[in-house]
Amino acid sequence: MLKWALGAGQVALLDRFGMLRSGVAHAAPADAPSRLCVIYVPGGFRPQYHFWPMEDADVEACVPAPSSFAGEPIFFRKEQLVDLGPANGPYKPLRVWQSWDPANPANRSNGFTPAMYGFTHFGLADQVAVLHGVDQGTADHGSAFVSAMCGVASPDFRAPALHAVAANYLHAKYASTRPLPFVVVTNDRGTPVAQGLPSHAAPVRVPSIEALTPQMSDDPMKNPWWTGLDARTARPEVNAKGEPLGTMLQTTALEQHSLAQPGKYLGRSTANVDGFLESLHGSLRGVSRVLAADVVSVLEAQKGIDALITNRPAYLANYLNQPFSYTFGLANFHMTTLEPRLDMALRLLKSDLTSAVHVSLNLDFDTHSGLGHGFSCAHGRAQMDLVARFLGELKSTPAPGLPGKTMLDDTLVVVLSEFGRSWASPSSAGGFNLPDDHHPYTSVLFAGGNVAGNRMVGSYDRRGFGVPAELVEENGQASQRVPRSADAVTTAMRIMGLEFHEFFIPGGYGEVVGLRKG
Amino acid sequence: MRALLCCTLVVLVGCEGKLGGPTTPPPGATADAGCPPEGKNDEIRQALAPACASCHLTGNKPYFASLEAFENGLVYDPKWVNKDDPAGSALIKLLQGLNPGSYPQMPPGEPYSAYVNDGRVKLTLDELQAWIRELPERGAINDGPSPSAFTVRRLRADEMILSLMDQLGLSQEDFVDTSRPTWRDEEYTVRGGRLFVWPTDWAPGISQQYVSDKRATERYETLGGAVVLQGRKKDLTLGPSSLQTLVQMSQAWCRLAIEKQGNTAVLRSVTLADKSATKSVEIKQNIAQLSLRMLGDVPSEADVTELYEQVYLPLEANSTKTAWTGVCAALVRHPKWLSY
Repeated sequence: MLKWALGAGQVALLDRFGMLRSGVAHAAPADAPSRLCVIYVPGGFRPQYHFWPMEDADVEACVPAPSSFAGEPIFFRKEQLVDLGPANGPYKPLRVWQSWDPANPANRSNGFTPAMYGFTHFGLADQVAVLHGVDQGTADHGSAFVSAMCGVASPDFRAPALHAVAANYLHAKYASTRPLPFVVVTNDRGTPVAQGLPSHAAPVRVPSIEALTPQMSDDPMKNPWWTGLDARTARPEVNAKGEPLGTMLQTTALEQHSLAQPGKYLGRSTANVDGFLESLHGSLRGVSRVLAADVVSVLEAQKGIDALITNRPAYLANYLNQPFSYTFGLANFHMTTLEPRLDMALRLLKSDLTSAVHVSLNLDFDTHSGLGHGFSCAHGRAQMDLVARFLGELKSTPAPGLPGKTMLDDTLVVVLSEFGRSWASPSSAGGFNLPDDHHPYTSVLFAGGNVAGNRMVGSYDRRGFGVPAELVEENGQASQRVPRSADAVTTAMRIMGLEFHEFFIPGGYGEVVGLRKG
Repeated sequence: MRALLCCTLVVLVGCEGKLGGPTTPPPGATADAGCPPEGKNDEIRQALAPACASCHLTGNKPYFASLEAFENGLVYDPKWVNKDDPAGSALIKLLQGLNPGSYPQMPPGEPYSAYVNDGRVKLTLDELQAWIRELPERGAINDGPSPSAFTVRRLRADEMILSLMDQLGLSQEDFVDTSRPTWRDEEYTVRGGRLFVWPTDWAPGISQQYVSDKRATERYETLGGAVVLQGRKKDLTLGPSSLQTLVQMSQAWCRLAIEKQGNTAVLRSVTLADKSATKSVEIKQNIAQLSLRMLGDVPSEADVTELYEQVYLPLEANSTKTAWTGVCAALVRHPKWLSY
């Protein structure tokens, strides 16, 4: 979409890597998932409190003594750490604070909390891996968000977001069945964009089920301004130049007229203006495709949150009834607002209408407070449990057209924040310094198909800086260095089945070894 | 009536490497006045500049911003300059005051001949026609961005909302309940069934007091608008999300404008009672007027016929309201409207 705003050199570079064209249909690895879901945690989280990345002996140097935040237990000792499963090869297994009561995981008294038990309840360890110590290249929220999404730290996108790359890659195979290639459900702190990619890879916003009808329906009974304008005819789909694309498109008379206009102005100005016109044409085609597919009816009929309601996990017994809620203390805090967005994300994935979904959680971790560490630990672990529930819902749903496989098998879920937050350190008075500022190193969780489960790769030193990990660079050479955001994005793309030459991230990129199966 | 706005700004930019310091060109001069022309086309551009550049240096028709803009936007657009028919070229007709349509004469006010007669320009119409007759072949089209090229950009979300309301004769009152005298200072209560689109940051009140239908502000963001208070930037692309919103908005707002009592923004030469069987001339005339209003250009006869035959006639079978909604919405989705 932004092709016309890029420099000629950038456009040429993207084109060289085939990014201005749809992904070429080819055989992806058998385990490669066909969907990507990115869950973004706003404000910068503290992953060391979710999945302990270092040696157990480091706990006392980096984690304050156990206490509580708003009635929720926080912080831990090394004796409380447990592995979520047996080690998978020469990698550290997922290791967490067992804050739950093994005899009764729902117990919320006597210093217990069910937070993070979801990974055990749903048996997720085999499909979850965490990359630690990722250098985001900046400590500015906006630039770090862009860095997390596309692998290049910058105030504006210099490369397409990973969702857009995946959507573009999968478009060749799913063009006729997935009319919403890339959907942004909620966009707290920013929208990932399809910088330089065709318009079918650009995000469509679908904030909630309530927003769908006036936005995506051509039913005159729902939107009266379609009265008399909704009759569609199937015609061969052509591009802006009038060249056939080999597919059919159902358009109204009005839409057909609109599709004929951009092509009239091609070749009249610069190549970048032509790019704008071609993108406009592509976007108009996309709108017709969405309207013709009646995605509103499909999504309204599709259950998003299902198993979490019909088979409510017992360990949630002491929380409110909403499937994505949690509580601190008796009623010091209730999380009650996440169902609409996570339900929408689940509907989109389960309905098979889309290849890539972006959804953000809505609690902002940008606390800048003396209580920031407690906040990060309590809410961060609770929100990771919400992630586990989301993964559990996917795991309980059969993948459409893939007998024996679950939606989680056929989806890559990436959970990330824009960066971390400054680490605690022992103070001379015997307690802990608790700085609460932006910190450019963070962790990324990968879950789902083709993920080498129960592994943690990379780590931190005691100041919270990333340490070298093994990578394979884009030219195939092995290297050992601190992973960067570009490498996290690359690893996600490789898990999705893309080869190095099928995408491009300015500044170089490599795959972190150990996170992908095989 | 954006098309009537005439910009009088003069950009103070010297020609590259040819001027020792900033100078103030006389009114109507191009940015590179005083520089030797870079060829015949540039010679013509500089010769026409005193009559034309004051309005066409910036804005949406910046033909005199640079040689590239002059060539891309005017010289090699057969709509304005026709090598096979110099006398019939719209550029010549405009300068003669004989151009059909709403803009018969350029410059407005005085005919071009008056400029020649009193020496403000030296290029005569005969010389201009001779140049058209011998028009140099166009060189290769620039394949990369250039600061001097005639470029377009999409309308921003706020520009879309304000200009579409203005063009269609609509206002906030058509979307928001005005029964309370203090409605402008309180949360906007959206009227039932209205597809309101409004920026969060423009809504009145503080502390959650914005718009009763939060979809109104969500739509603004999908159109590409920024949400400054939450640090979300405007989207300068024109992706499927923007178009999705604009497609709905174009039909909903056009229909509302047609239904609005006493509003002649869409139906100027006809009423909903007029049908093609007896009023085809008036209907085509109304299409031409609406096209000029929405796109800022006098449409060609072919453009009018295309809209009439491809959109109006098929939809008139349903109702004239549907047909005019379709014609109006087609113009809103037109590349020229989107990049006005």
